[in-house]
Amino acid sequence: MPQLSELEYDDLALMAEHAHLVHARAGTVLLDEGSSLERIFMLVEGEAEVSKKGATSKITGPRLVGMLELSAGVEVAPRMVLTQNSLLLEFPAEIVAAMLYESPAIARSIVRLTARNLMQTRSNLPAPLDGPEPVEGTWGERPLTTVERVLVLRRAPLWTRANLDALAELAKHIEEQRVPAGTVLWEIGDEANRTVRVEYGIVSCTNAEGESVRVGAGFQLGALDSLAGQTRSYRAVTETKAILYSIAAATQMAVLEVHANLAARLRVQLSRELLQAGEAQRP
Amino acid sequence: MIGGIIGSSGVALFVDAFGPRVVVFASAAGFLLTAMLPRMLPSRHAVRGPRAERDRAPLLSRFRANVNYSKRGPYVWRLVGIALSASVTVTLTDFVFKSTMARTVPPEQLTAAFGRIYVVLNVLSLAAQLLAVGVLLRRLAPSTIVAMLPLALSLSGALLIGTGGLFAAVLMKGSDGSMRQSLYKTGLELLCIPLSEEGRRRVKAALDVVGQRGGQIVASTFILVLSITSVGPEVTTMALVAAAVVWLILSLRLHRYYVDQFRFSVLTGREGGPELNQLDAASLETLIATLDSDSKDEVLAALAMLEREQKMHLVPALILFHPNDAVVVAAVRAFARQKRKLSKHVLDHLIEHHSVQVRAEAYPVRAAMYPDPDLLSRALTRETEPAARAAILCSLVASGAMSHEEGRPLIAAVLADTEITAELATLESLQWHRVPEYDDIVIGLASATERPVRRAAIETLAAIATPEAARALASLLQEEPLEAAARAALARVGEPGFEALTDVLRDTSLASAQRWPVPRAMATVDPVKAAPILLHNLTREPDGMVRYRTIVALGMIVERAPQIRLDKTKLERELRENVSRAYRYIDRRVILEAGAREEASRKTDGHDLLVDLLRDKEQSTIGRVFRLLAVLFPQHQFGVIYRAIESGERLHRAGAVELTSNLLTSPLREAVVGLVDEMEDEARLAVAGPFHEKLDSDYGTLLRALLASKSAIVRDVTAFHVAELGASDLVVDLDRLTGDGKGSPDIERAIGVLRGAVSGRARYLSSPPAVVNRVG
Repeated sequence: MPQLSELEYDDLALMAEHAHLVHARAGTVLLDEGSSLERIFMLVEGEAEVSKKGATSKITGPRLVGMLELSAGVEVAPRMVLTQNSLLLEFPAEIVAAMLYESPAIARSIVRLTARNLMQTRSNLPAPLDGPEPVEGTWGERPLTTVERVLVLRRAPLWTRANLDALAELAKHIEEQRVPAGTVLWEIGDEANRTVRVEYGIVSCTNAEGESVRVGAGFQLGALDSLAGQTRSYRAVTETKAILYSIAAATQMAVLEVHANLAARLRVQLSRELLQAGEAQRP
Repeated sequence: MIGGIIGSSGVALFVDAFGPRVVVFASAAGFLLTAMLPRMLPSRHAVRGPRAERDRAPLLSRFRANVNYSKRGPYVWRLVGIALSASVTVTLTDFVFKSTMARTVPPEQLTAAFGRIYVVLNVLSLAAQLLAVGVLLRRLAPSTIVAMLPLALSLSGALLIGTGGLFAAVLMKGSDGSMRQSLYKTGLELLCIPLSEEGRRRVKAALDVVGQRGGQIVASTFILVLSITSVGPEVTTMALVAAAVVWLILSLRLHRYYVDQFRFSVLTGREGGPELNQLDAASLETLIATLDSDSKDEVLAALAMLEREQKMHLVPALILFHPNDAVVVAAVRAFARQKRKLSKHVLDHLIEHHSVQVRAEAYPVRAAMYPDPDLLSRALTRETEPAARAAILCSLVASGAMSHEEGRPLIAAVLADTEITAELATLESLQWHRVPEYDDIVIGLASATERPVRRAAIETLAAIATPEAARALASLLQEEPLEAAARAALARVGEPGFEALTDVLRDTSLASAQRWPVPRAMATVDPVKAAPILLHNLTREPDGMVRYRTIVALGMIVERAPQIRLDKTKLERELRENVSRAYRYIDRRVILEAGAREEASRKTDGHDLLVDLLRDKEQSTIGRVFRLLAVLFPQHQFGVIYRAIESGERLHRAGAVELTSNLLTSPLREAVVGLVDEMEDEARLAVAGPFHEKLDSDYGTLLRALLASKSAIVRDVTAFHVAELGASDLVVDLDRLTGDGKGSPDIERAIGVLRGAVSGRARYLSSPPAVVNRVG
């Protein structure tokens, strides 16, 4: 199952230990919309209808239902009705929530899937095609100091209450780059080994289908690719001269691994964005 | 209690004037008034929930249910046993006291004497509640607190048996009056805390029904029998002492079960790590049956499981005739890795296979199992596919039929092909034949753009296992998507892998990100050798992240290999230092916060950042303390306890704190509990004991001390705040840092601001704010 294929054996065994194999008939209502999310289902074989807020989608296995809500900290179930006799794995939500916190590998796997799905909803681009017009920002003559970088990071909602030890560690490893217009940041297929915060300037991003979005000051570029553990899915070129703050993806991951709360906040934010994007039943 | 004092004082004062009848009447009036009070409250519709339904169950069945519950586990039945023996003891105490009074005090003075004695008893009880209980609860375990009343009753009961005097009876009743509500009841409540919410509800009902009422029935029946048999009062006192001794013993022996119960409640449902049992026969049968599945993915998954469980010998060779090429390739690889001998005709079938991937996999296996250079040479002239040619070339070099020098340009030519299949085939062949002379080719492929090639290169580096291959693997650890594969490969490399990791750990000039994953990798490769090296490194490591990961790795070692003995002295020293550091962070933060309250102008962005930084550092240090405790005392699972403390669930947290308190010894116990218990910072600092002496610094002196901190980020944030305050008296300290090679852009900026050379406006204020949906 692609959702679990990247887990190591110990983590798979941990999941398997708590999984309950269910054979259920067509018509069985497994989850009621709005009820407390007490179980997560993985549809292994068969077909089900999942509905939420009036929108219904048909899914076939292998698909997880309820995981995104749990990961987003919503804890309210969508409606899930089987439309064929199906084979499912059932997990207690409480246990899965504990696993998300206690097993970095499982948490990482969910972040990877969520980031991947979020990229798909954005047509493999960093921002939605109909996103707001970017701004260039203010050109700073001197580089930011470490403390100023921490203060900048802290202004982002994701990091507001993040452990400052972790932020300081990230800030310490940020590299400032001042580049002219027309600089290629990466090509499609390049290893997604860093994320870039646009401090000043506009960056144009184009996917394999030729669709483009422009992002500007304040945008954290390349984060989803690296979180998704995949190669670059779009080409990024600066349209104007730019100031960029770049950090190695591995450094970011190492900091997240040590600071579980920070990793959990990131997971919750990505999951909420994906829920909002209307892809309620992925991953 | 105050009501009791008022009531008994009233009796003592007015009984002489009005007589006992009036006292009884006043008492009855009081009861009537109390009964009517609820009627005066605003009426609300009763909500009948499950609890109400349960309470309506027949009394007998409730009693039976409570008796049954009291038999659940040693902890619960011991608690019920304590309640039962306590109830018997206090019922007999009351009887013995009253009968002794009746025997020794003239009847006309009896009411006033009772009144006066009860006033004293109630005052004593109130005093105990106000003065002693808090102190004793902080210092003694709940089981010891519960044991204090039976100790006093058995001693005073023995005195009564010896003297038969009123003094001993009053002393006995005095003990009961002063300790029962204050110490015993509170202690019993505390003993229920380790139980779950439902468990607590059930056990309290069992304590009430089986313990309290059951004890009263037992004692009353005993008294009734004695009154019929006209045995002397000393027999009742003896029975009282016997019941008190039972109560005492049960209480004193409860501590171990209390700690176990806490451990159970904190650890239940929170432990990770399932036991990875060997596959049972049924599971094996399922896996073998899955090999016949129509789904390629299921067959591949079954093969992977069987290989992991070293059961490839059970897989029939017929799988090599599977219609799906991916399955055949996976099977060939798995058989090769498990050194399964395949028959010549099967391999000859595979080297004639229509799929180039299958042929590329089959050539090296055929060459290794049935060496035949002529066959390979013939195949080389026939094959045009780069992948198959790569496999044949590597096999020819490995067999000696072609020299390394001769093969090198040919392989390079094949690798120039744009398809990755040639690279994969080369790597598979080199992995199978282990040609150390070509480790540079493999290391080069390990930095290829395509991830499947890099993963295959990692596997091949593990097979080649040269020191150069090990060093390449150690440097691949820093790439998150490849870290797990590189770590597992280093474990297969063995000794050279461990040496490469040790070199990276010791070389502090390397990039931090390259060194961070090393402690965990060392613990995986060779935990026995890693333990002393990691422990030694803990004391000299300059990188905080490496230190933290070293502690985590040591925890992994003791968890997975409990037979490994770590140097306790070093660990204890590290623990003490971390506890002290945590208190130092608290103390410094408290001074900063007080300073901002004194002078509002100090409360700047830098001040808030510094306060938050010290708080977060305190939390990180507490995390380290618990990780070190987990290493020092692996049997107590402090890692899980800390997760419970961090969980934010009030009861879970309280249980974990209580468990910590019971597992450690003084003075470490008070200091560690002080770090995690819910209390004011000043109270925390008061329990630090030998781990921290309260700082006597003003705001300016503290900023100077923070500028001298070992932590670069603390120095930087302090410098930022010093610049905000314009504290030019600290410019000398900032200059000194620059002179000592500890300068940084923040320190340079602060010096510039204080000397008027640089604007005090921080650049971050003009930086664009990031918003939630600007991540992509």
